[in-house]
Amino acid sequence: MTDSPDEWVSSHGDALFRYAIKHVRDRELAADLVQETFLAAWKARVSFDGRSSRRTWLIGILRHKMFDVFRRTKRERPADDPELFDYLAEREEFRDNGHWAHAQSNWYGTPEEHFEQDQFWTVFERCLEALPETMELVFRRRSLEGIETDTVCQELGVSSTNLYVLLYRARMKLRSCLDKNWFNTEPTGKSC
Amino acid sequence: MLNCEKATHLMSESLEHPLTFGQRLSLGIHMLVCRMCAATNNKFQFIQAALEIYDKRLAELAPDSSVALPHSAKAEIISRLRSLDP
Repeated sequence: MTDSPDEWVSSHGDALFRYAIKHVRDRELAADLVQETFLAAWKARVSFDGRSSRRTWLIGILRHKMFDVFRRTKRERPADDPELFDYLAEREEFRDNGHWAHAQSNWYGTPEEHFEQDQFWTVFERCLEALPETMELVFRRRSLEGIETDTVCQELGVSSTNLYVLLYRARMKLRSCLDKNWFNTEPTGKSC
Repeated sequence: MLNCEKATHLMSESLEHPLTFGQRLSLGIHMLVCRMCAATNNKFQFIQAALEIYDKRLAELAPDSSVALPHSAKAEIISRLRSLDP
């Protein structure tokens, strides 16, 4: 067994810190989360079965810690969080009859052509960060981590309907952000 | 008849759970006749694929990145880990 606290921290400390800081955007909080992650992981290290890499396993624990923080802050906020119930943007997308208010562009190229460009990822990340905080975190939790809908609903204390609406808005916002900042195909003119 | 706003909601939901036969049918028909909704569906799929790759990239960031855990924090973690063992 080559496990040692020194080896763990020198091999994974920076990577966990960078991952945390991308999500919580606060150096102090990120450092605390990394510490909590290492402590929990060290206590549970016999349960690590080697099916994934050590890094992946640690990141999984870090994500749980991040979401705990999010839940704690969420409870302190009023239930009618404007981030959750921001209907305004959506009303600009559609007319009252449910038709598109503006023409929708096609994105050119195959996804792979975009994914292989480093610059795309800079833009994509900025678009993710531009989402309202609640929306971004729920979106990451559900879409990146594949956590079951029921679990996310329970954690947040929202109905599944509200969760779907939240994820929908996150997708719509990401899409307009990429329209504008990557594809340069902002909707113009009339829809039909 | 499904309108575009409802169609986009269904597209998003289809990424969360399987739609019913009726929902799939009405969404499929809508996208056949509405190019703008079909384009939006492609965008949702694009974003979904991008998210998966984005997260992988985050976990594998180059080691020479300028963002690093401060030395003092590392030292504290190591000493706390050591103190956990008898």
